[in-house]
Amino acid sequence: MSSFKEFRSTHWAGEPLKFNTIPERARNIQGMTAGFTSRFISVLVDIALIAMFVLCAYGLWVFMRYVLSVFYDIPQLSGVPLLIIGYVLMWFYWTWSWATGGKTLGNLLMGLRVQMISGESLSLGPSALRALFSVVFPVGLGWAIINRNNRSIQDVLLRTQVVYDWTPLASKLQ
Amino acid sequence: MARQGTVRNDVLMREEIDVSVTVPMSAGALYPLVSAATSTVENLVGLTKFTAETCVQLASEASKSATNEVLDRVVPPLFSAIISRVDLTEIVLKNVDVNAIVAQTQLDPIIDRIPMTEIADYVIEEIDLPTLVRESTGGVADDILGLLRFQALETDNFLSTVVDRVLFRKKTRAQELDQAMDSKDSKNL
Repeated sequence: MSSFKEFRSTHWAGEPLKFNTIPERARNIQGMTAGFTSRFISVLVDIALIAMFVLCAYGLWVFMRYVLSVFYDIPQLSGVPLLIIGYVLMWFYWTWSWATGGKTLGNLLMGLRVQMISGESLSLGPSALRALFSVVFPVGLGWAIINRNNRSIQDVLLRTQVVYDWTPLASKLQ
Repeated sequence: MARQGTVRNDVLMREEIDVSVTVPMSAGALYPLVSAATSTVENLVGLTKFTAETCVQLASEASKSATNEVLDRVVPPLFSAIISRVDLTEIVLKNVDVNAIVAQTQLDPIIDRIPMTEIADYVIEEIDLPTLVRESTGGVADDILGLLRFQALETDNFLSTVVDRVLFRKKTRAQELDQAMDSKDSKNL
């Protein structure tokens, strides 16, 4: 409880008020490196998202094949090309998401952000490298359980980190 | 009488004769003297007038200043002594119709001087309006999100504590996290 005088001394007229919508208990951990579980769930959400997308695309493909099979000879897609498509999509998605704000949908859900150790956002190059590393060697995330600073192998190699950032997306867009 | 008059006439006649003889020679010499005398007299009169005015002004200023000084020294303590013996509030309440004054007061200029936005911001912050709004409208989705994040956090803590203890680390990651959570100074993101 502060007096109006105290309030005026810290705020000046016309200054937009910034409201902290993060729960009080979690405010002080913002910016600290996130642990394995949060990151793992986030990755699972991303994978599920891409898998759903690929499956939907596959469903559409099968349907089109069924409809157009009378006129054209469309090849059947087997599991391996689908998996490759999934991997490539995953790579693109992670690269794009980390380079543009450091948050995938999974990250957003779990309140995480990928950034450089210095705190800067990832540029396209490191983002693409990290995404490729994560796609090819997802087990690297397991190192976050052991590492003192919760950093996975790709984090250690590329000097990145994943931190808690529960700031709502809406306040960042303002 | 007639004799006197005769004499005077003679004198006058003689003067006229003298003048008619001397005027052309002495007029030129007299003019500067006359004009100098006139200007001296005029200057003297002006100086005297100025001196008199200045003296009057000085005397007036001195008397004013002396009066002010005396009043400055005497009136405040006197007034404060009087005021301290009188309950002004009671007098005003008894004798002044405050409601009538308020009814006649122009409120708009007063309102214009009040920092309304700042007061609104202050009230919003004091009653923690964001939390109220969040609690009333956020609903289930926000609760689930918060719950999910906190549960993941707790699991992280558990997992990291186990690993840190196995690796004989002095300070576990969970302890650091708890310490940050419990610290009073909140970060403003």
